[in-house]
Amino acid sequence: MDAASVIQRAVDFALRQFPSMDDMVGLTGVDVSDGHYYKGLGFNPVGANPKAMNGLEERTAQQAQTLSDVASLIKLLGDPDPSTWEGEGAKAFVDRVKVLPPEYADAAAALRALGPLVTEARQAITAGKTRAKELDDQAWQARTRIMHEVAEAAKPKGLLDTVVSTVVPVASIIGIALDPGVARAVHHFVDLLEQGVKLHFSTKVQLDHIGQRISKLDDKVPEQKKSGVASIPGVGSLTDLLADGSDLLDAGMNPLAKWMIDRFPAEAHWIAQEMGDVSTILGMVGLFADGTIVGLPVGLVLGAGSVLLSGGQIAIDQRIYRTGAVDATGKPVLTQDEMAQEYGEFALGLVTMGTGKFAGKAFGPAGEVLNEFIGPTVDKGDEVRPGDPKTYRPKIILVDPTLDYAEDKGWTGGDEKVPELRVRRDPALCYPPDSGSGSTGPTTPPPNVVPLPPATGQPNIDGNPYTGPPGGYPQPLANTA
Amino acid sequence: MGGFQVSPDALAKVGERLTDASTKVTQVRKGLVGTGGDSSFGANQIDHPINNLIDRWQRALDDMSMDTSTIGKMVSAAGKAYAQTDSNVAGACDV
Repeated sequence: MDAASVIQRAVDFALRQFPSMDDMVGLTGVDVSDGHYYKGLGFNPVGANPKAMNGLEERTAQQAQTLSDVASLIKLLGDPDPSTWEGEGAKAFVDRVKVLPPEYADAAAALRALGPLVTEARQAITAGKTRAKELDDQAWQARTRIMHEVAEAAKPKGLLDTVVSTVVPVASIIGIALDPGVARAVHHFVDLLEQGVKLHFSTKVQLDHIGQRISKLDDKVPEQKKSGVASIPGVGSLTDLLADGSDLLDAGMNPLAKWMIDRFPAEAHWIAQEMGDVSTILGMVGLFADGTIVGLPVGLVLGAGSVLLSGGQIAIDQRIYRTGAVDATGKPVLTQDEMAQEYGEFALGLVTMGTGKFAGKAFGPAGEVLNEFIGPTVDKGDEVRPGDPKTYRPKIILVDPTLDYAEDKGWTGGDEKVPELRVRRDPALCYPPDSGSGSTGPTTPPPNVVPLPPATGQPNIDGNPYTGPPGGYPQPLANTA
Repeated sequence: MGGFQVSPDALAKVGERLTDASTKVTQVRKGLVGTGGDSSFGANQIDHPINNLIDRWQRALDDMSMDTSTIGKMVSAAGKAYAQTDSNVAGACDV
């Protein structure tokens, strides 16, 4: 296996795992909850902060108890007692009061149930962080291993200078076949990166499940006391559904879009356009219906149809847009402006659903939805502003002290617009110093690198007896080839 | 025949208790402010449902507290009216 295939694998994996911008946001190298720097992985797989909600369980439990007490008190007051309460006025009073205790009891039950779910989420996050740090330690050792493998492989072949001066950025090493030991070491490191990314998503899925259970705790909110578009009959928790527009597409439309593009690659964009046209017509008719005597029900149905079709169009075209497809004349099949237009049509459907009786309540959530929706869709070709969570796409960066002298060579970061797997040299980690580059890094291993060479006669990573310098080798890794 | 057949004092006390209950509910409702919001896990999968849940129950508790308070005030007012009537009747008899 050569370096090109290993690196390509990593890039492909990263692109596959990070289809949308919001998946990338937060994957920085520093954990804000405890200041831990993930220097091995280069990113923090579990970005959540379990300390931020300290005391929530206790607080909601106290609030639940207060509401339970109130429920009990009012129940006592409202219980018909012939010796105390008689007459029509008393009956009216009791009728009105007796609905309150169950409502307070429901509220208390919801708050009481929230605590354990928060605890569960906290435990999932904590466990994820523990695992992340284990992976980070292993990744750090793997980085060091790569360094030594490269040094070992390059020295006898006189390749080190060539590699060092060429591998800037990583893409430039494509085509250079490295020693199998190096490839395996890199392979193992990429495996650890994969595990880190998988940990990120598995934690996310766990939290998703807990979040869904939390969402159900509002099932008993008295119907007339619910607010916003969530109370539109037949639509259910629309606010929830649309609060994260990407979820809507991921859950329902993206599989459809993928199938459509796979099945009709040439016609997919045309089909999407047709869906968009019909969506617009439905949306406009729905708006008209909203203003007529037939009013909300028709507008709601047409608006929902418009949203679905428009969502389908966006799902298909977004995939096409992300590929950067061009037509026969070299022009992009889809531009950013056209994608924005499609989101506008999506908005029309939302507005249609939200007009009429529910206009005031629907417009606010719809606006928020659109902000959420449009924000994460910045993609290849768009301006990306580092530090802006809406547009910044963090990169997985391999910090390898031996391989990359990009900064020395004046490399300033290159194309910031797409996720890349890059190798960046960190002088502080430069061990051992490289004669080819003139680097003056430390001559002893960094303190957190445990130099545990294989014992004499023990197999090296490639299965052959280890012949490297004593004491200069980290713990042998499992043969991952 | 309408109205209550209960002592005006008892009626007034019930009203006070309901008003107290409403005050407690309002305190709980205020305590929920900030339960989600900025103090969050930094994980949308959890933060959003919690914020949504808290928001829903806050609004519901607002309404429930208002109901409780309104009933309490009505009952208190009824108690006071009955007490005043008693007083007036007693005064009339004294004359």
